[in-house]
Amino acid sequence: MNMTEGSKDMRVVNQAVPKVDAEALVTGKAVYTNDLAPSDCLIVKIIRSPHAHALIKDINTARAEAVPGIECILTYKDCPDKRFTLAGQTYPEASPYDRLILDQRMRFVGDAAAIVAGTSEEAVKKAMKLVRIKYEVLEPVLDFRTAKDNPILVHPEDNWKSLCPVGADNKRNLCAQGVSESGDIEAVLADCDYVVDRVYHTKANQQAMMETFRTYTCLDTYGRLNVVSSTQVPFHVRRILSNALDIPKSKVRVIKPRIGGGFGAKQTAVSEVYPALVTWKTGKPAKIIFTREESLTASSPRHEMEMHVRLGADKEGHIRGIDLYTLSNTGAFGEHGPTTVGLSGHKSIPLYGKAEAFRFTYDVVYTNVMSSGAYRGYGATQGLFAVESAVNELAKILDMDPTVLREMNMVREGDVMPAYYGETAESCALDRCLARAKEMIGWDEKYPCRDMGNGKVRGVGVAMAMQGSGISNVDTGSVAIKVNDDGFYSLMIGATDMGTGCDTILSQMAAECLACDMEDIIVHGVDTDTSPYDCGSYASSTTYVTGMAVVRTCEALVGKICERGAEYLGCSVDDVEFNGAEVINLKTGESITRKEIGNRVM
Amino acid sequence: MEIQFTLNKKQVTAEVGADTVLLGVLRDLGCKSVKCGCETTNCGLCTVWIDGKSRLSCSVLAAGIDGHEVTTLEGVEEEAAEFGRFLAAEGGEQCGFCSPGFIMNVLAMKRELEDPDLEEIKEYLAGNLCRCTGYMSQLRAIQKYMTVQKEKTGKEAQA
Amino acid sequence: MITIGNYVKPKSLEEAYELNQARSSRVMGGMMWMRLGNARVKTVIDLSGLGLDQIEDEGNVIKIGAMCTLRQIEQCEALKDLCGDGIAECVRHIVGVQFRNQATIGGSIYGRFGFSDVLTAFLALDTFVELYDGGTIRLSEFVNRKPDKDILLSVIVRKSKRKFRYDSIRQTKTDFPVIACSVVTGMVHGKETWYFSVGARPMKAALLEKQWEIPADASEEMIADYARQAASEFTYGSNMRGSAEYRQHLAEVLIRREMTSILAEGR
Repeated sequence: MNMTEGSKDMRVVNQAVPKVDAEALVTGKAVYTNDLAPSDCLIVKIIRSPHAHALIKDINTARAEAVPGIECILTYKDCPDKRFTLAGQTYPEASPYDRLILDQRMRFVGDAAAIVAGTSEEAVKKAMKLVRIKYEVLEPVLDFRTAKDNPILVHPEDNWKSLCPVGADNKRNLCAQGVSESGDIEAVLADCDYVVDRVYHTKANQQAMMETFRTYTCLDTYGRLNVVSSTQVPFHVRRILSNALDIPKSKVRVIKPRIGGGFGAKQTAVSEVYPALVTWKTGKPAKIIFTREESLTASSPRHEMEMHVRLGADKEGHIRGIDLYTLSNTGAFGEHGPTTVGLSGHKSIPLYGKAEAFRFTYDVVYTNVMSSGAYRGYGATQGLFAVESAVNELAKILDMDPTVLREMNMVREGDVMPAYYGETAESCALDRCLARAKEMIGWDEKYPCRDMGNGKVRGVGVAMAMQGSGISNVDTGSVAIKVNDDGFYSLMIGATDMGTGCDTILSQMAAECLACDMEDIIVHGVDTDTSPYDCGSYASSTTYVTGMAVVRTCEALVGKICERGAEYLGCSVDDVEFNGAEVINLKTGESITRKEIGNRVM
Repeated sequence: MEIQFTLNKKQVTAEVGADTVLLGVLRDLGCKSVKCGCETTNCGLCTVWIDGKSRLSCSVLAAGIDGHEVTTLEGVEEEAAEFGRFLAAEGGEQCGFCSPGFIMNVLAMKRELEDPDLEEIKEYLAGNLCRCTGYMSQLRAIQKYMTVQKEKTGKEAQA
Repeated sequence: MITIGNYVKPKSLEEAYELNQARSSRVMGGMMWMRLGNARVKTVIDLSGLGLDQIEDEGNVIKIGAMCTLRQIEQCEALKDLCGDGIAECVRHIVGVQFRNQATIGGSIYGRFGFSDVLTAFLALDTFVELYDGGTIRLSEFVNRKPDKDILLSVIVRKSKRKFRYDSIRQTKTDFPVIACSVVTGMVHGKETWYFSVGARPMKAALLEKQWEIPADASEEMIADYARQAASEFTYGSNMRGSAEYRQHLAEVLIRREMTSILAEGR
């Protein structure tokens, strides 16, 4: 199948175009958060707990406040006692409301104990050393295997809450718990000729995007909180700040500039709450720039997981049952805990559609380590490592080529997937992917390995994966396109380009649908005051979800252009056609340009 | 203490402390292209030229710059834009945060190495980290750019 | 990060030395490592401008000024003629070109850091250090001294007939080495002498001298035995980059490879 067959018809899509922001980026223009921050911003820094688990018994800020240039030092006493989540997710968030801006309880080494704001970095650093905090040090829960039902609770507080039925229970250190199954897995496994029984452990990983977390905030003319942040989720940040500060959402405006990478790290509002609180309290602009060290120790890395896989097959290699138990470590707070764990099973087990039975059980536990978050793959990565490794071990036991084993067992188009919510794989080219990949690497020549003649061998391996483009029935992207005077278009999107290029590809799609050039379209940056709502850039959704919104908006707009054109031409809308540049009356040949329509409409 | 130095061919002065590093001074003087990625010499984002040599501005004491010449991306904009076009054509800039430091080092390599092969290019740029591209697009861009440069100098030599 | 009270660029070595006698003064090289610590330095002394940034070929020695950058050493023809590719090898994996345009040999040698490739390499060669007050002493003696208030002026490599190899293992490119090994051999006072320098153990480089007569056509097993013997005479430690046992195993392999390469050259 020639994948580029359709492209012969496309003028803009499927053509190599430089990104719309390329020139600015390669000439180093000042387009990132810290390039835009006003020079009179208060510098905000965080005093961090040296203990994994402790209660603040006393904070003495007197000497620190006396340092010249210090504007304010904020403690848990200055923050609302209403819990929220920092997770950038569609409301109602699945992640528990377990955060305060500053809490009396410290839950990991690096947890925020106090906020210091001043007119210079030196003043703030000096003041930080003078704040005296007395901690009551408590026993921490550090091993996630001991966290569930551990008498030491990470979140014993009464005002902890979980908005969605994810099986969360703070009295058991559970952020989520669940099971899904079909068929009788124990009976099937007992009946299998071979059962591969393994435990796999994956570590927390840091996204390590080149631009660390940073935000600046200020009050505008109307007394509203304006936030410019390196974030993937501006609309969610608006909600998060309104929850955190306990102010109406209408008081918050979030603007997203160019971002130096995210990869999921910035799908949690890691930095915004701190300068936001300072600005809200003092009325002054404030900014926080996380150091690289803070971005590695007090951020939102991938969830550590331990996965117990039991994979049963018959002598011929038919995989009959898969049983997966995932234990996920969400750390001190529950951002993305209930949601990432689901993918570890839901994006791995359904690959083996022929299985008679499956069971996927999981626990997500709180511990006294840095809170985990979103990172490309979002839980599927860990689960696929475990299940695919087990399948490869099965291949070894059967003395079967692991690609052949997969060819025998993989889900195919039309199959019902009990392990994927009972959905049908209506579109599935997995078999063709495997065939093509085998061809590209030269699998048959290289399997199992080649003797390189220098004491080394070179092997080949295989794994499959499935992933979603967007969270089905949840993710939303909206688009608005305006025709301006002179007929050029404004494309307003809420999707966040973090270097991923959505500003460019969405323009390409619009240019294709509107039959114009990309130069005729201006892309407006994301501003929650003016951009249409978008859940933000995560879940590999933008091209698919917001892209389809572009396509539909263009269809509707073309319809409206035709209506106007017909009106100005004095004919029926059924007689006209829009070719991108003009509306033409097909019967008479009369036409009116887009530019003229744009001007007349004003 | 006050320092005076040449920044992108202009004389500038700045008031600095004994332990002030050059990176912040350059940004305060308007050179926002210089980025801070790690503060510990590992990432190369803060690469600038000091007396024509690539250095890490996060680790240079501003006090020691008195009387020297500093060049940032703002000072070689045309050349950067030319290479930048090769980079953009290969998809070698995604978030763009590593681009200024990376481009400064590529232009330095162009001046220092004659016709480097792929291994030499990789080694010269080992101190420039990127999290978005996986480096392959950047290497393609550099090779294409260097080929064009070679043709140019070849033509100039013949002329 | 370091905090500094005063930055001084002295006009003479005498002035630099006087300033350095104060307890809270420090001489800076490239400042790459010093900046990352938490020291509170009252006066930092910058030696640039005092002519210590040249590599001089002085007939029977190569004299490397303390303020020479690692990049200068990497690209020095005279050092390459004397020692071969090993000199460039000992610096080319250190972070990146930008880093090496700033880090100095003085900083590396004076600092006597555990992770130092530079110290490991030069320790195996016929190397001396020139100190402002202490005169010229062998690097093998200097390496065991504690930091004091003297100033390192230059690193001197005597042009003895030696064969030199250097190799290191790194988990990730541009990271600190897990282990660094240098092997040198030559005739010393009429006897075939082998020098082994192992650094990043993770402790700083140590030197082993052996008067071994190894035939140029020595078998693989024989060389392996010698390498095992040499590696076993160093002590190793464990840290996040590896265990002591792992380091010893690596040292054995690197020493064996370097010895094999030297002996092959002889044939």
